[in-house]
Amino acid sequence: MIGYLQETESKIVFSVPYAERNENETFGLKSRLYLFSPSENRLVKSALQTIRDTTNKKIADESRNLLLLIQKIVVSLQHLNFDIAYLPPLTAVNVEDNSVLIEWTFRDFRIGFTIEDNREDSGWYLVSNRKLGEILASGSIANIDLEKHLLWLLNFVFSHSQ
Amino acid sequence: MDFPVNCLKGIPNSSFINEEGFVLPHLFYFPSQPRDENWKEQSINWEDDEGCLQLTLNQRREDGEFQFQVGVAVIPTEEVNRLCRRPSVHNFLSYERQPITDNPYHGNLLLHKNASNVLMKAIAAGLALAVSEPKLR
Repeated sequence: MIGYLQETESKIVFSVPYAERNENETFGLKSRLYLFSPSENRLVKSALQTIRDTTNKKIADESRNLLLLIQKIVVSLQHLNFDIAYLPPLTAVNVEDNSVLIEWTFRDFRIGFTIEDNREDSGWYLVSNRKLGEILASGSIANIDLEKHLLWLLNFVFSHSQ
Repeated sequence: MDFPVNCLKGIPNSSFINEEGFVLPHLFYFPSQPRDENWKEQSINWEDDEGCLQLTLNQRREDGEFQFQVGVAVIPTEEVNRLCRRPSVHNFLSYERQPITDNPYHGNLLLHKNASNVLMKAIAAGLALAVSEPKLR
């Protein structure tokens, strides 16, 4: 389980692992149910609708899980008083090569994920223009801690999108 | 060889732009099969003069409909050059002129066949980010 802490000076958010605590000895662990408000759903609603048309179930499931994980982390950050109202919604596309493209598109940078039938080919990228240092970073999403990686990417979003 | 300030890439339909009007990366995906022993290619037109835009917009499919129903993406050549020079892209991305019958502006963006699928899609995102403006119909 991952929690989040914001460093006061830099405003950067760090993930902090913590152990599950059994809060009710009689009935066991509380279930963690995430209910999102309409404003929180706004970021992924359109993308989730697109995924409904994805014919490959494996790709559709992985895409949906990724979108819900992004939403969960963003909402967690919102609880740390990050303003998410100005963030654009994510876009999802069912591409002709049978992959799904999920992109967060900003004027000066883009963060994206490509979900493929072969998980080794699924990847992420961060590209930025001259204004933000001409970054072109990418990699496979197989065999990485996706939640920690998303947090790193979201730190970039919050640092450079206002 | 001289290249003009911009190259143009046709936008076949609205799935290639998002709700805010930004061009999406899959417009620039390269085919999986290389054309020869080194390169994969995707077509562009070099904007040598005003006729290039008109020719691109007027290209038609076999069924008579416009090939690029949404319009064209304009990519500054300097931005492509800067993308080619990035350390993770160097030697994987290039371009060429390749005039063909009825299209003297035709050329290709080239991706080395050894580029991974993940890198190809990151480069495509870099090209989409480099689009200075989509010229919509």
